Amino acid sequence: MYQDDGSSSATSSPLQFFSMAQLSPNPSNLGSPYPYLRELKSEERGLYLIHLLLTCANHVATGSLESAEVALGQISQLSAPDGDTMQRIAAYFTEALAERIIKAWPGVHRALNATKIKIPSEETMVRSLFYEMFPFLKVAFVVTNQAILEAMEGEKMVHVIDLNASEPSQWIALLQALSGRAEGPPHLRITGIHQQREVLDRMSHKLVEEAERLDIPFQFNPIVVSGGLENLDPEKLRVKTGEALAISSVLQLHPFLASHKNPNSRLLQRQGTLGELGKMDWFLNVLWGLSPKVMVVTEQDSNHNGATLMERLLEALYSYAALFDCLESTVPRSSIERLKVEKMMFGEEIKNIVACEGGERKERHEKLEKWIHRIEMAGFVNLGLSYYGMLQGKGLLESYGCDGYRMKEENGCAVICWQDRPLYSVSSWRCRK
Amino acid sequence: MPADLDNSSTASGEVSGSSSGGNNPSQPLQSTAATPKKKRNLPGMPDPAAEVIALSPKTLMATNRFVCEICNKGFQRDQNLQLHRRGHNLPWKLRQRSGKDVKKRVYVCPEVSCVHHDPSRALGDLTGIKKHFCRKHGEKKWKCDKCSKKYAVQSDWKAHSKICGTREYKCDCGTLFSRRDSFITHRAFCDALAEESGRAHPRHPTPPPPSNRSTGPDPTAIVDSAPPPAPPAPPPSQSSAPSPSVSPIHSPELIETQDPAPIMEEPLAPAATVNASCSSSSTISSSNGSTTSTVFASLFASSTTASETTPPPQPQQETHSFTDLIRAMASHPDHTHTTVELAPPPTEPISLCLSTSHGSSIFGQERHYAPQPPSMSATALLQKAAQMGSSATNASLLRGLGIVSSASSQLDIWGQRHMEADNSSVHHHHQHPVLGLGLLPCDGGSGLKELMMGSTSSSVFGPKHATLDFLGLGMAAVGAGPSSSGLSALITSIGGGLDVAASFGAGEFSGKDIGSSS
Repeated sequence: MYQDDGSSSATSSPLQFFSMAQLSPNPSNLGSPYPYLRELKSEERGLYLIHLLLTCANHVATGSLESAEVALGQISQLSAPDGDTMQRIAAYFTEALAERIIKAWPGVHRALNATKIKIPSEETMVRSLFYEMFPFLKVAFVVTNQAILEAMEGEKMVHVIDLNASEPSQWIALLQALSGRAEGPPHLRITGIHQQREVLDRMSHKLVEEAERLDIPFQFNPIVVSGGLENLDPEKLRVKTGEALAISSVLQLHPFLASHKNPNSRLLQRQGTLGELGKMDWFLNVLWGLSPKVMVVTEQDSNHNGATLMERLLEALYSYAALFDCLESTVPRSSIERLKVEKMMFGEEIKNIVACEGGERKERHEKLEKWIHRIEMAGFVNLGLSYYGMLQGKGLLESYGCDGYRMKEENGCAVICWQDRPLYSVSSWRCRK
Repeated sequence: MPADLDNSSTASGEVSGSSSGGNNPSQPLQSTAATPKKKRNLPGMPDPAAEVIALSPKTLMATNRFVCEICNKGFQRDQNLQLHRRGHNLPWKLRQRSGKDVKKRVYVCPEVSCVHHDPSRALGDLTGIKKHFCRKHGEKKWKCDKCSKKYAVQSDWKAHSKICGTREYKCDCGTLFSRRDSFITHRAFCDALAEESGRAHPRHPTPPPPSNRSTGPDPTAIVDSAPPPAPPAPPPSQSSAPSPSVSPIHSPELIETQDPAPIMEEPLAPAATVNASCSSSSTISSSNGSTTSTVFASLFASSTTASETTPPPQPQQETHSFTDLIRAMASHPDHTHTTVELAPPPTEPISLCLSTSHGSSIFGQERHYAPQPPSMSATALLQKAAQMGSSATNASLLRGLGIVSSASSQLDIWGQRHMEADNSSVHHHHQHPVLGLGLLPCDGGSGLKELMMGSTSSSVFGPKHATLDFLGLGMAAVGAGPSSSGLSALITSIGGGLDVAASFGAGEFSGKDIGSSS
């Protein structure tokens, strides 16, 4: 049953069997199957969609294109991006499966995507919608701030590096917390990394304003990286001696798991010894080399990095079902913002998980225990989240008003769940000397 | 002057009034961080004149609460502190404690959301409030070595370790008890699975079913609590028509019939909402008079015996009997005989009647979300599908391919024809020639390995036939018998590209790319 944590692998096999289950209609309806489909109630339709989706995925995985084609056609009659949860999920998953099929014809795929314009501001906007509509990032920020606060007790010079500085509210909260410190606020320096200059400028403006209001000596250093964190030059971070360093990584580590070494990265070329090291090891090594006093890592807590398509698809089905359920419970169906988040954030993630392989597949989410192991191997020690930090996180979740959100502790890390499905995890680390 | 503080509430008014005059709000218990707030007592308390002390979590958990004002040394007990203070050679006046030290103190929990945060619900014992705070709002640091239970209070943990492993009573739902009385109470109301099904759905502020049971005034809630062992398997609530008012009347009957079968709990957690089970149980009860009712009773009995012979609940088996019930409910009366026969064997192919003709579905009542029209959550649907799937491991071929082949009108005709041929084809392969007999090249998961069951029979058809089979193209029927030869001809004529050979060919370039991952 679903109450076991992390037992999704155990339930995924029965789910596959579901696709083989018989779905027989009432004999009296046989004469007109199409209107019958229309009459399907939401639950039946949902189950049927799952059946078709798994069938189709099986076909895609085994290469039976015609069968996949038929299945996709059938699903498209039932799915809808503005319907109920299962309809939406089916829509995005079938889009991803279709993408995967098309990728077998690289020419066609490239032609289809030739005129696609990537508007960075749209992505930023969607990211901030995700921040608004879900409590995950907020809880992560709260827990991160608390961990930083506790680690920086007694420090006079604090330097925080934010690997993806998009939400000023996180650091505003930190500024306020620091100003309330018994021994007075420290000298605070925040280095924000982002792809877009405008976002960093806006953040800088807001933070400086807040710091002046609170009378905290403050400095904001923006760093613009294009094409992902792998192109970050560690020299630019300018970590000074004598300052206590905190690193905050929110959903930034998993792209490094893409195994294909990026030939475009100048840094990887510069560091010639990288033949054996993967990008993840390199990056964690860079972070370790900075000797942070505390590093707080927020990542997805789902196994979307399986070797086979079916593994990933099944896991993703569960995870995104939970995420879509969150939206269904909190946002009306007609909301454009919800559509945007579903399409531009989750839809893209699903597409990446299902349709891409190798270096292209950036959304390599993994379970918390794997992250723990990996970060430990890189020379860090799990600090564990304090009781107070967990309390704050839980309090925030409860005040969110939707009782589907849960938070639990696992190995000293916080795991934020929807119902019983773990979705995101927050862990705090320090350097092992 | 009220020398003795009576515990009765009658004198509360005067007592509190006069004691307020004499009370000087000092801070004797201040040790570390926050200032304990002194509040006026609310009337109605057990001891209205008692002093309410609110301590911060840090203070509460501090081990050395009594601090010497002179040298700031901390002590666990007040008496120890006094002894220590004597050594400071204080002048006589200071040495005395500030008067009435027999004043009763009550403590509130610092956790704001807690019931005991309210002074009128304060606890009278410091150790008590410490333990309460740890238990309810603390992290569980002590873990039992034998089992996995964790405790926040050391004494709880010790008490448990003494008991752990000495359990003697086991309910059929799997819960263990060390005490006979709690076991009996639980067994009478064993509805663990029903609770979990209620928890599966993200409900808005509505509390989970267990608390519903205790508080619900409406008939639905009553029925929830009344037949806890009753909802064995929610048959289609086609009679959501029988309003909940019917249920309370009939529920006592159900309890009796269900008593010998505590195992018969809702196997499909997400589908079987407690509401559904209510209406379904009302269905059962209301149809008691009809001929089908005896069938149901016998079904219950037969499934009871079937399940009792097996070890504690295996969802697969219960699902079987559940779907048997569904079929019994959904099908016409003349089918009841067949369903009775089919009740026990666990390898019975599951056929979910997705019929809408009965105006209801087995999927029970729908959930209610505040803004949206009621619909089942995706997570719940997946769980349900998984459970249905797990019980369908030996399912035979797709029947009712009318659904699947609805895409084109041509396939309609074929679908109808296939239905006729279906019966024959069913007999030919009981083992489902599932996909992926080695077709899934990167199979790592155990789940996928299980897909490879039924490999023997599929060798007749070849795996790709099997995959096509899903869509009800009946390719697996090829070679199965004379009746299906016409089918294969029909199929090839329809699709044009749906030639089996073509699919193999397509697999050449795509199978490697699509099916595999780098």
